[in-house]
Amino acid sequence: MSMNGKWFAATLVLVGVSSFLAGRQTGSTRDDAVLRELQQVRSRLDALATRDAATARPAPAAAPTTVDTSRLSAELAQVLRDELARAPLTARPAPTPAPAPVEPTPQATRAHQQARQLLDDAARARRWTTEDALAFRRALVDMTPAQRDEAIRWLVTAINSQSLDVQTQGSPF
Amino acid sequence: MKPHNRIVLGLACTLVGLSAWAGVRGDSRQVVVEDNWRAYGTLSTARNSTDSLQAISCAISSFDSGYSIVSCSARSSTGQSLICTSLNPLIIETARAINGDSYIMFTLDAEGNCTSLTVMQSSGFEPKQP
Repeated sequence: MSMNGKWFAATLVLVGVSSFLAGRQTGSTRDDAVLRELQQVRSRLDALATRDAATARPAPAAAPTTVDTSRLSAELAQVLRDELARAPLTARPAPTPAPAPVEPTPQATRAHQQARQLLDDAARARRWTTEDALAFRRALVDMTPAQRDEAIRWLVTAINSQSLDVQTQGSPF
Repeated sequence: MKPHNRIVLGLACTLVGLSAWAGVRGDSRQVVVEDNWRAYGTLSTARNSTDSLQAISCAISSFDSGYSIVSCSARSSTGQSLICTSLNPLIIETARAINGDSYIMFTLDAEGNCTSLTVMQSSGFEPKQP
């Protein structure tokens, strides 16, 4: 091989090695860049995943939760009992006292008996006259409210069952 | 204008005037008793009826014990009677609106308690005759 040939061969080898090294260097740089890019993408994905996990609706439980209404009712009742027990007595509405039944006076008892007698007589005669109505009205005045209710109920029942022929001028009592 | 024309014109004016006078009249409502749950009718019509049976009325009685009661009763031309009573202040108040020519309708439950009372006045109802 001549001197020129040696130089030519050396140049070729040098160029090849240089090219190889240059290519290697370039490839490494590109890989690093790609790796960096990938790293950035991964970071973004991780960030997005973290954010979604924080804002997303919580995943439903494995099994649907059933509401135990009886237990809730019992708890609510207990809370109400506790609160009521703690409430001051003055805050509670006073229970409305039931009206004490009026003890019938002898006069009221007599009036009640008269009304009963009137109705019995009318039932036998099967008619209710104006005189009956007047006497009944007079008797009502002396009765207690309970007696009055009872006497009126007798008359109403008798009239509505058509067992009395109402012959009054105006109201039956 | 001839005397004859004047008379015709006067008659025409009178007839026009009379027609403007007339309203709805003759709304007569007989007393009706429906089984044991409702009765209705106009006071004036019941009074003006030719039969001697029809009647409809409401009465309010108050006692010094603070007890007030209203009773409404009706009797139809067939003699069927119905009566209800109530201590309900609203029904008592309604009964107070009744006047001489009112229309009344009441309903009741099986125990004779008034469950409603309607009172109506109308220009069409006939007045009571003497």
